[in-house]
Amino acid sequence: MTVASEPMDKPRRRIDVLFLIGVSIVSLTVFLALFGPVLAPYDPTVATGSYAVPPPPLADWPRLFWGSITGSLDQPPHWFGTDASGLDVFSRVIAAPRIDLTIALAANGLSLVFGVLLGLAAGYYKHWWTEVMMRASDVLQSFPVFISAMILVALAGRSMTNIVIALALLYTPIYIRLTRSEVLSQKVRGYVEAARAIGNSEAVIAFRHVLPNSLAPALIQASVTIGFAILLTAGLSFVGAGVRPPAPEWGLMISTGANQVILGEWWPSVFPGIAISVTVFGFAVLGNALERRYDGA
Amino acid sequence: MGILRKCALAGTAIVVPALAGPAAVNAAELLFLAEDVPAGLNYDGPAAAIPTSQTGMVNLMEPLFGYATAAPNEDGVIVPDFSTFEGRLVDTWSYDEATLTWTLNLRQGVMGCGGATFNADDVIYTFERAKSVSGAAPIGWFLSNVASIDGFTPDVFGDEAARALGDEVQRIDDYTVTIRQSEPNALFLPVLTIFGLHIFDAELMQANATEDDPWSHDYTNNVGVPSFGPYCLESWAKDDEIVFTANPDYYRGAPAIERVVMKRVPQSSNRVVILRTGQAQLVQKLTPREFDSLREASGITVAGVSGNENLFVHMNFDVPPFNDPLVREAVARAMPYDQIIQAGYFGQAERWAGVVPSSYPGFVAPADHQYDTDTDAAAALLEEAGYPGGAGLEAFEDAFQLTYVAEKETTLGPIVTAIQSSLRQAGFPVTLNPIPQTQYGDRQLVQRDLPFAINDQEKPIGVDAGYAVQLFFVSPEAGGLNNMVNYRNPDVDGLWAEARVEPDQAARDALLAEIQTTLMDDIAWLPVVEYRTQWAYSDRLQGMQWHPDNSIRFFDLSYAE
Repeated sequence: MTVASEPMDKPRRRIDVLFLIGVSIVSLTVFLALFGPVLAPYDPTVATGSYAVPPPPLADWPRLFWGSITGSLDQPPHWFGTDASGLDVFSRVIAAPRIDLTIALAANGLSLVFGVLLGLAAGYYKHWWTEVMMRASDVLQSFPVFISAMILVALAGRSMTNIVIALALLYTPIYIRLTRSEVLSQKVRGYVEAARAIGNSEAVIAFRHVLPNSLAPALIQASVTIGFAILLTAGLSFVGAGVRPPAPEWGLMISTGANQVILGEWWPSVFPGIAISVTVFGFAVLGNALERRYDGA
Repeated sequence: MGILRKCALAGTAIVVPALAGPAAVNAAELLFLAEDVPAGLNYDGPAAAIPTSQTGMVNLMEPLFGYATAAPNEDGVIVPDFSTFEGRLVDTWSYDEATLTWTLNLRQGVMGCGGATFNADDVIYTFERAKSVSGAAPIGWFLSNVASIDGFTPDVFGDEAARALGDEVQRIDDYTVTIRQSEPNALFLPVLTIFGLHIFDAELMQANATEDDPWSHDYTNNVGVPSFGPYCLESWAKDDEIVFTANPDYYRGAPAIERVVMKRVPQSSNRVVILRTGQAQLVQKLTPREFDSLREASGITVAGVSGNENLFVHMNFDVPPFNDPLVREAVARAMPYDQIIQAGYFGQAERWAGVVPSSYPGFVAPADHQYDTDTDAAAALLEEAGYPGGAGLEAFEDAFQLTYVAEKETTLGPIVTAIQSSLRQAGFPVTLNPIPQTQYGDRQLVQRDLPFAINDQEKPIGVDAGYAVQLFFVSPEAGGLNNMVNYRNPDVDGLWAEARVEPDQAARDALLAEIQTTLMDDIAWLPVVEYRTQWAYSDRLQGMQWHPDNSIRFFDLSYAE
């Protein structure tokens, strides 16, 4: 009996399709946030003079696309039609990430910074005030996020800054709790003992050693939370508590277009709806993929 | 029909049976869908300002006077003949110029829903209540004051003794009443057609009075309003529905529609769907686009009238830079009037050339003070005002927030977007500021601090140019009630003081014309369009009639055989 000696297979790197999809969508969203308003064929806040024009039939798209490239058209096509106010839906859809993503990133950035720092304090130090802080977080989290956001924006006034602050306030407890639980498990590890043994102060241990090792759950959560922040921003605009018209914002577009659906004009609300769905999906799958990688590490 | 639209119709149809109930099955019944149901039935309370509450009042109560009707308009809607008054609860009347006294001979045999027979006591009670100024919004007193009824002066607010009704409104016998004016005033009869002086059933009102509420405000705000109108109140659930049943003893004949269910359906698109399914017979307050979409619908009639509804731009004279006439004129020149008519109202509106509804007697459109869209002229005016290309206006960014009622986004959205685009092109740093209706009302009427706003909800329901002038343009110091732009012009105040007591109609008209020309010259308001008041209804329904308060009288309606 002979045993064939087979060369050992090289370990194949598995392609994480969801990760790639997530990265692609998020990259596209970031790209549009940076360049969307510049790339938009029409000013997204100025009426074009064509009202409630439906999107061109799909069969015409190649011709229109070619015409756009060669400049042979009198005016750029309304790829997604126009709404009842004469605003170009395509221009607004691609310009909207600047507002949606800015709000989501700013709110998340603020809540991440404050949440992580407070979570570190709550997990590392045992004081009465950390307990009070945790109970306050519990109270804040016990209210439905959307209702709380509406109330906060209604009280503070309808502006981008206030929306960011409201969302940051609502998301901070998530990061506090995540970081605290991670810090509780990290602070009993050997490296903390070692750091203490060589004479590091508690503050140095907390910030230099425990914090970097406790960040991963919060960072993974951030990706998912950005998606939900976009959804929440759109929701606030939908109920009239978000940004002011005619700012290009997906939720606002859905809201103003929703009443026209009954008249057969589906395009002003469907396209921004698709944009929100895809974007939130992108951030969610990216978060999941990162979580799997972190867990597998 | 698109797939999405079919789905929307099907989805709503599933919900509709529970909503509509059996109301529509009887041929003598009507399901009327409105944006709300009456919040109150007390015209001396806050509900008086709400159109749906007014609908409740005018169908349950009866006035002393009304207007005769003219021929139907092009849509078949019957319009009033404002030159001819008809007695309603008044049978015949006369006026003594020497004593400024009206003698009203009341109609006999008029039965109310509560079984009481109308007589002079009901008229006396109504004016006593008005003069008591006991309600949260004393509309009855205000209208009496506007009509110059003697004793209905602002003194009543400071002096309790002045609130007692004296001999200015006097019961002569069971069916004769006299009312004395303090000065000649042509507004007397127009004012007595308005819902704010409709007649109460004194017996029932007094029966429902309490020690704390001797004028039954709570009762009329929450339970019902006893009167002598064509309909009686069957049930009333605020925020849901109100049901009217015909008053079989109504003196003009029993109404053809025996039962009317007025149902609250806040979303106008839902009202459209339910009308299309045939379960409702009448809807109102749709967006112009929705009315347009129903024009070709089978079995549905869309009809309207150029009545007294309008859209104007409000620029606050107390807020810079709107205190500069050049800036106001530049805004007027930059306004996209035609675009608003086409995109905002689908052609169901016309340029408004004055500050009084054009259907009203005494309306004037000064030819020298019309402002067509001309962006270059606007830019030139801005330069003349010291803001070349809009430079310098950034300092007034807050003032250029164009405020409008957020709940009307569907209707006003296309209009404000067009205005913003056009004004920005001329150099104005306009931003949009939708705010809730309650906040808008408070800032417009109480604070009077809205710098720049679009308004489509002001209409003088007193059919007279002078009534509109006193209501909106006379300075508060001279008795102006709703001068939301803080316009003050001693000339206008003086001319109105003269016109108010001018007995000669031609001379009065001339004074009112001069006032309107001044108002247009000053751009006290920037009139934009007059839009049609429209309704959509089953094509079996007939007899639609327009009234200056824009409330439907169910008595006018019947089903075709």
